[in-house]
Amino acid sequence: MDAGVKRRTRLSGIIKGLFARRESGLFMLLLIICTGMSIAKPDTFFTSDNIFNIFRQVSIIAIIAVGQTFVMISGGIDLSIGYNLALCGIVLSYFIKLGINPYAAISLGVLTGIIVGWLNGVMITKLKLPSFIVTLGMANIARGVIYVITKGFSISVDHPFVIGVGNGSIASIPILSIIMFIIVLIGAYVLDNTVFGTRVKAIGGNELAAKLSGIKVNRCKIAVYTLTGVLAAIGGLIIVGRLYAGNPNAGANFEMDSIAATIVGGTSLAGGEGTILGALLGALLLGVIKNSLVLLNVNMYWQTVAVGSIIIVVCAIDQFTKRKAE
Amino acid sequence: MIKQNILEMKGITKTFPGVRALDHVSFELRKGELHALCGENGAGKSTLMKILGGIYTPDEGEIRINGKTVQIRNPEDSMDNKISIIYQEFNLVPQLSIAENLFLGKELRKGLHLNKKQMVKAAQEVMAKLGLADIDCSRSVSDISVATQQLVEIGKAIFNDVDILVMDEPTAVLTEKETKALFELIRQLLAKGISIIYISHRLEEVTQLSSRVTILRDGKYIETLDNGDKRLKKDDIVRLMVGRDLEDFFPERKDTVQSGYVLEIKGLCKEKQFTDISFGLSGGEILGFAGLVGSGRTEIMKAIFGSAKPDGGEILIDSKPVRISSPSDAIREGLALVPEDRKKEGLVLGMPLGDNICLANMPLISRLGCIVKNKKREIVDRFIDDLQVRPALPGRLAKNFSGGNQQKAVIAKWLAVNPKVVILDEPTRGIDVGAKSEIYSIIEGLAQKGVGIIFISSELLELLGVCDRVIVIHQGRIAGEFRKDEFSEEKIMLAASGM
Repeated sequence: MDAGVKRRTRLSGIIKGLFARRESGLFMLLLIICTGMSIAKPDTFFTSDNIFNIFRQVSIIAIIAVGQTFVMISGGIDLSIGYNLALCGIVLSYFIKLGINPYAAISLGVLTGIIVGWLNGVMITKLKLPSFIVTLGMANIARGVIYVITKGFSISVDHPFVIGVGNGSIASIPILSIIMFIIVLIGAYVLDNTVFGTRVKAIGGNELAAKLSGIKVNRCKIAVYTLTGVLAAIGGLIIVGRLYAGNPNAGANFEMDSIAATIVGGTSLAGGEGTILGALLGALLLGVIKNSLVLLNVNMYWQTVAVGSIIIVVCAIDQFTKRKAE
Repeated sequence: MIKQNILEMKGITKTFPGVRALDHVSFELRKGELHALCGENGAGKSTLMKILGGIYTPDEGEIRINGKTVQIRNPEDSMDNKISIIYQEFNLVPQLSIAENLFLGKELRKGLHLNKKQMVKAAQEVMAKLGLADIDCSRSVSDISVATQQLVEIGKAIFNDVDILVMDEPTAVLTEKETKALFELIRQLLAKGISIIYISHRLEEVTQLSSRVTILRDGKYIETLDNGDKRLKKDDIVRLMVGRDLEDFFPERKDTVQSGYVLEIKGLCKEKQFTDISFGLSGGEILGFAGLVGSGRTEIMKAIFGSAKPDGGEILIDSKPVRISSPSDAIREGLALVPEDRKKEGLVLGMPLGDNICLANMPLISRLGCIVKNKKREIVDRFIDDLQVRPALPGRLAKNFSGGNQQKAVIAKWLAVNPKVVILDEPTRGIDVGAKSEIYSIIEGLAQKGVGIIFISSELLELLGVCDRVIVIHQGRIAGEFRKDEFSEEKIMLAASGM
């Protein structure tokens, strides 16, 4: 092929890609909603307070959605991520309260996340159980352990580092959002530019072909779930800081929110494809919609109905355009 | 007197992503004739039959039955038109009895209950009419042999009162004796006025049985030959199938066989799959593996490659025993496997072709776990160029390439790791004639570089055309070994049937 044709196909490819990609569609949708809200609620929506508020609310979901995206691209699902997050928060609060070195306590919280994730991975690969079953079981185990430790009561925490992570800001940007952006950037780089990321995609796309290409499928999957555990632990640390306490009910429904963000972001439930940027945009879209409904004084219960409908509508539009493209 | 056409297919066109499977193909079937459909893998025979069976709907074209235009949109339409197709993979429910399978969808009832006794009795009558009185119709299908299952499929068709029967590679799984019985049955069916479309790679069968032969090549209609007097020669059919003389189709085999074995297998066995497999492969040698479908060839190679665990046996590479318990071990020892089913086992279809090529060579294109884009591009471009993958777009998803180019990508994946031994399992299945010839050349080129090649194929023609030596597997055992100077289709076929 001569250079001219190549350049032209590449150019048209970029243009086509821009319109065909899920991310740009989501971005447009976000833009439309934000513009609409800025007009409808000029003095409450587009204020730095409200924008940072939205970011604070979506940051934790976006962080664990990065892990969920890896898991779902590898062809699995992690239903334990929310309770794992809560458990990590409880563990670190408990040990801080016990009076040990707070940084050691935080490390124990992270270790908890790693162990839960690693156990998920080991049971999925070695016992050859579906991820749905293993992580559903693990979610219940984590929730049980939380209540065993707390007996249902919050554990208050006032350590300045923990509180700072949850509520502080640098140059008026919330620290937890900075953490989120760093994690999203690293996650996106790993998925698209490393050997590990390519292998995860290959496993989700066709596990047998990946195995026959010499990829150590089990080791790779265990790494994915362990990584997700680490992200859950970071989420756990942040939520303790936000609430000034380890709250036994803190992680409720986070697994569903992370799955929703991931799916709206274009990750296939069947595995093999998906992007981190998509998951971030998915989390942002859902966060902005929730925020807008609050500002518009919509009844709280109806908000939930609206969010549920959005998930279905976005995915239906995607299916439709995909089928049309074929 | 020429009998009237019971079936006419005109201008049938069917396109799949990346490939035009059928391009204005026409086909006619006369009442009571056996019309053979010939062509290489990927010529479009099965696609044409799947259109007749309502599995695919054609993009263009017309189907007439007894002169009347019909629409076949789904398998039910096909059955309503009294067409029955016996696919390579059978359509029987293994858990049900033979009788229940025959009555599937129109079960006999007594009140709310199935009338099993009556069904077995009626089924037995049908089978007796076909000379198969000794088959017990109350047995479940999973308990009977593959050959019997095939007879049950035919019985089911007859029971459904069909006019047109399509048989796709009916003898691929049958032994010599079972084949003879099948031919006897076919002659009976023809005498009853049933019209048969017969697909087979075994051209002796075609010349023996058919009254006409239609040849397809690369999705196009080529010619219909008359064989009313059974005078048709195999070579005439082959020449039309490959579209050129055979000397041009296969590359010239240079003598590159080195002394000593690069791969040696001693006493490899696995329960219920294969027993006592021992052979050696030299560098630069092309060793063919022949055998019926299901004879254990694929399972043997999977055991060698570490993707299935054998019960016992030894694998030696460069005369040193090695332990291979996973594909990654095998790759480290210099083995490569191009698997039988490139879509299920060879490629990640939803991934770009370039990424697929790199899948087994990640360390080569990365530093500290991060992919180095320039190195990746260099390797991908080199192999796309070397193997002539078309179109040369590494960013395009693997699923959008044609079968031949997909296969080249799977081969390319292995070439970058510089293997000592490449195992190719049915590498030319479902790809067009031109791509086949290219794959033969790639194999020849590898052998010339000193790579040992194991080449599994169900097409004797290509084994004889490409290999230095052929080992025949029958029911999991080595049933024969032939050097190039003793090659003949008859000998290999006999060994493959266990004689």
